[in-house]
Amino acid sequence: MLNSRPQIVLFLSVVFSAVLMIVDTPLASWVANSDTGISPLLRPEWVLLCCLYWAIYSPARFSVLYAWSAGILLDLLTASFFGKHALALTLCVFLAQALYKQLRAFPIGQQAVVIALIALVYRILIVWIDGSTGQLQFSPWQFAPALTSAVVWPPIYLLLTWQSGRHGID
Amino acid sequence: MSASAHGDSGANLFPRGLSLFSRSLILVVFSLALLFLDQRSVLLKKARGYMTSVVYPLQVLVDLPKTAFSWAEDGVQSRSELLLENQKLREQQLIQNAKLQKMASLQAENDRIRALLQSAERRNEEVLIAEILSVELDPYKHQIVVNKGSLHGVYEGQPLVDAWGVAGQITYVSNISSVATLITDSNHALPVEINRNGFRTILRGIGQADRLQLPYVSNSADVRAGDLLVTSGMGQRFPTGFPVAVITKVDQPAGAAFAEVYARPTGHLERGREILLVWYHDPSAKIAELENTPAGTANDTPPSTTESETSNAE
Repeated sequence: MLNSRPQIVLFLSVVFSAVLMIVDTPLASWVANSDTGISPLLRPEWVLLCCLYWAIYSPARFSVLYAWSAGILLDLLTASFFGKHALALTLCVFLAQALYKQLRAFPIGQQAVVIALIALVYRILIVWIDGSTGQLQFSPWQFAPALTSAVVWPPIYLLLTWQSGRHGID
Repeated sequence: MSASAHGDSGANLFPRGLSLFSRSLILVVFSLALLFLDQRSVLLKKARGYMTSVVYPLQVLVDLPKTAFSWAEDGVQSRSELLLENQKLREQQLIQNAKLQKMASLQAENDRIRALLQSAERRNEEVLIAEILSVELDPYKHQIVVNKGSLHGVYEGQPLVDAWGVAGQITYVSNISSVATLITDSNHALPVEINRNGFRTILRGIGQADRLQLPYVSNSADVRAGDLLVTSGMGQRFPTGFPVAVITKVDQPAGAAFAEVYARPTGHLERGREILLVWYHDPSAKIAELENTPAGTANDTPPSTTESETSNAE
């Protein structure tokens, strides 16, 4: 349970990233595709990034089960079918945890590239599930968040590393 | 439930020694099962309702800045501005009350005519004001969160309207909040009729905030740009006669089977802050009720006492 400082930090960071995912910002949809009228969302996948950070740098504490729960939380908050974000997050965190030793060794730029790829896998899974449940509004912009997630990775890394240092997380 | 799982590390819940791969596989299969269940059956609806109530505070938290901002905005209005606004609102209310009186007499006349023709009694609607939380659900779906739930009597499929037209219907109900799908969502369609000539058709969302489509209009149909579309009441989801959209474009290419018709919604949909939930009394239930009472007494009773009035249940 939440009985130690590191666990609280972990929990709060995941919850906070989930909250960021549902913030209604006009900024996030400023690029409007006038043909289809869909304003694409360039919002980085905050929850994915947060989970990936903990999966890489604190794998003992952050397991795929934790990622799955974060996915369920995200499903609840976004009124999606149960299991949609859960599945995507589980698979992506599995990928990260399988490679965590190598990922730790990469310089941050290279890490960002790998994060972009994992985020792309995440978006593909989400779009795939949406497609198979009849909820899809297809547009190539659906994959753009992979790029913005990678761009946002360095600040997230710095922020969470700083917090880890402050609260003594390995 | 998910809160406790948050705190657990994987080792506590899974038997010792399960590898990363096995754990992931189990979770993936479980997720697939959940997806299947959630989509195909109603088993998870109740669980979702309760769990959503638990995470609702997070949604309120996200909505808070906007609420605080508009509250602050209201707070710094000058006294003269407030007096002016007050005056305008009073005048508006006076005009609308006058119109409402006329509507009441029209409604009574309508009921008398229907009784004469032995038709079904006119339906009456009740409304409840709800607020839209400024929360972004899926960016590609047109769904909103409203702050009323099953505790307020909200039910799945309930219609939502705003002051200018039909907005959508409720799709998920939780205890103190609900999720509604707007008419512009690509998975939403409703039966409408053209106000001018009663032509009935379907109005479908195509995922654009300002455009709806009428997909099943034959090439020779009497459809014009500028026509007002109102709900036809077929399907008994939406009450009859509410404005929905105005036709903007009619393309009738020669030789094509169907015309290309597009419309613009009249409602302000998610641009507004408030929305109305409508309780729509099913006429078939009323007819069954009338048929069960002794003949001759049912038609004399005046329409049910629930007028279209707003009640603010805070």
